[in-house]
Amino acid sequence: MTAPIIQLHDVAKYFGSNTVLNSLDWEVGQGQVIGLLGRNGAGKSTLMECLLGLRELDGGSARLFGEDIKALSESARARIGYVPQKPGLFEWMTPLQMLDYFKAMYPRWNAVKVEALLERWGFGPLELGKPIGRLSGGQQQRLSIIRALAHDPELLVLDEPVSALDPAGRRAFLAELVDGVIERGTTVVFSTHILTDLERVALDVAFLKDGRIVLQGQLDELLEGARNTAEGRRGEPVSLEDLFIEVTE
Amino acid sequence: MSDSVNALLRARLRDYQILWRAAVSHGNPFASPVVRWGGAFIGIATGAVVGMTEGLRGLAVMAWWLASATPLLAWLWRFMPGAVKLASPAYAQLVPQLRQRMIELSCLVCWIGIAGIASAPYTSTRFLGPQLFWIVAFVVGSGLAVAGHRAASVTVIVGCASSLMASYIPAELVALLSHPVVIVLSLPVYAGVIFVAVRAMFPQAGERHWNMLAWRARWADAAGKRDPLVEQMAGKQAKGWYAASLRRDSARRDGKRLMLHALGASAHISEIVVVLAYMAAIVIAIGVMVFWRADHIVTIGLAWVLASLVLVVPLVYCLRIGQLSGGLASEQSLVRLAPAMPAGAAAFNIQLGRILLLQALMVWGVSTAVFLLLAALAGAGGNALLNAASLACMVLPLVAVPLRDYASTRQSAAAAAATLLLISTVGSLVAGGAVNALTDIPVLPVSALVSIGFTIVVVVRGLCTMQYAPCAFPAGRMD
Repeated sequence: MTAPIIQLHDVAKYFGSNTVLNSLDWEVGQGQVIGLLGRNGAGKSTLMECLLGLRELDGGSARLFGEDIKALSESARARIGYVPQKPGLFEWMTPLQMLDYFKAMYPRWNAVKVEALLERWGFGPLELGKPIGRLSGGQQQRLSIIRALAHDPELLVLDEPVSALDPAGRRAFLAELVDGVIERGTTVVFSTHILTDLERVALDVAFLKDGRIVLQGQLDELLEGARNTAEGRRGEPVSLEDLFIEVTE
Repeated sequence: MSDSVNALLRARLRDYQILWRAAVSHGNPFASPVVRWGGAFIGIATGAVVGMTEGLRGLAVMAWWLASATPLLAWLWRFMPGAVKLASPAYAQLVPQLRQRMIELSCLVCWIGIAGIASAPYTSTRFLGPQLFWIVAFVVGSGLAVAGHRAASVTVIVGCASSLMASYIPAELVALLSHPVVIVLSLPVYAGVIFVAVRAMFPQAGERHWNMLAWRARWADAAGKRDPLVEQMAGKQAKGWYAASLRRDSARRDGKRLMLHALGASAHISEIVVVLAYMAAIVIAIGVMVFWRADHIVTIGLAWVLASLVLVVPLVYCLRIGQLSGGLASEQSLVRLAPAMPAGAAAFNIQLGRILLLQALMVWGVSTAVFLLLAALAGAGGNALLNAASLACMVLPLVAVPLRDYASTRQSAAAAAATLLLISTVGSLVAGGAVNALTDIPVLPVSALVSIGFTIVVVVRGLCTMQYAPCAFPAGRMD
């Protein structure tokens, strides 16, 4: 059995007197596609930033690819793809400039994939020459996703990647995620509030509440388990939305 | 009866103490050793010079003045930034009638400070009236600015403009305003003005309160964003230059230069050069307007002083690159995760620090060259050019402004710039004055040498701060 790609042990994070993460233990194995769920302000973005080493931990330890996140090696960082929550990134550059900029910083860059995605997701010469700040929110988010996928990462961390996309854009992104990323064995950590999207791609879900992962498992098993009543009988089928409300209440 | 009054006073003082502590806990611009030791050095050096030239009485006046001005500065720099945050419903339970207590405390501090400055045993009170007016305008205007009130800019502009036009004020009016009776009569007027202004600084909820909160938030937010004016001025030429530079740096895979691009296009030298060209044109236009009828000797003597306006450019640039990082935190997260960047926080910060220092030095160098060129074009002679170069050296410590702990939200680039500029100019002039008194060497060249020495100290200190600070990217993530 291979070592987990993400290992968080006893992680704590505070903002002033507000406890965001509290004695959090979490492991994500290679090839897992895991949906991270939690209410607004539960700390999903903070957890993602902590596991990538973008925020200092107030307690505990975090490792990625077996390395301490405080000083990730060049090769470990080359294996990470990250889509932050904010879509409008590098607004002063054009999409082509931004992609060239990141291409210069990664040892591996799949130019064919980038061109294909740009074409499929509606980036013509006009859009590619405009400053990113003048693109629509959806286009900015698509570009952010293309940038994260361009170096064929082995770990993809997506912080609400589809929040600004229209239904067609979401479908195209999910298709790309399933065909181009998940089937290659990429590990994906994906936070979203659109549960139907999560059901399409995630095999596992983890619920974040009170600063901890309170429930984690395979989606089907969790939904099946939720049907069983206290008396041992099988109840009505439960949706992910019902389970989300029940767990995070 | 007296017991109940005493109890009331004690309770009121306790409330003031709680409010002061709560407000100053939001940040302390005096926490820097540069401020502490720099302040002590300036105090001792100024005291020594005053003691030598004015005697014991001069020293007593200076001590009195400092004792009166310090509470005003502490109120403005330490209390107000935290107090405006406390003036919200979330903190309403801190003390009974929180807003009223904050108004009382602020008024008390300002009244005592102004009364202290007015009553110092000056040897000459010839300009005391106008000086008092400017101090009140500065205190009130700055307080309103911290609170986010729209009247702030008008008040500060009126104060600054009237101080610049001081030579045009009729001598009779100055003498009248500085008469002891008029000074005494003006104090209640200033007290009233301060009361009205402080009430405006702490509005009682309502739409105005939220408007001021929104204005403050926009102001803080705008610090890290592109400046539409600069962008408009820079135009296509600068954009083309920036694009070429980005293309070149990307093609070369130059990690150091690529790191700089994460700070935005406005950090690029192209925009600064264009802004500098505009600034030089404005200075030339003003110079022509001011000196076209003046005597040639006056022009040669003073034109270089006017040309020194271009030194605003390095000041603004150092301030901008010192603040810029906080506004682009998401972009910086992605750059930090890129394999081309150094792995450890210390290596990353040192690389960033060196790039920022180099950029700041480059902008200072270009601005100084433009300044000297303008002075030479205005016919400045050898001495004037030497003075101009010395003046440029006195703003050199500003290149250390971008060398700070970017992870923390507590440090302000504006406060750091103001502190460095103040310490550099005052400290170096005092040192220059002292050397001049002893050896007859001109003041400004000595001041320039002192400023260069001070720059080396603050740059080394800034780089050390960055080396031991958490990773600079993403900036402003730690409370």
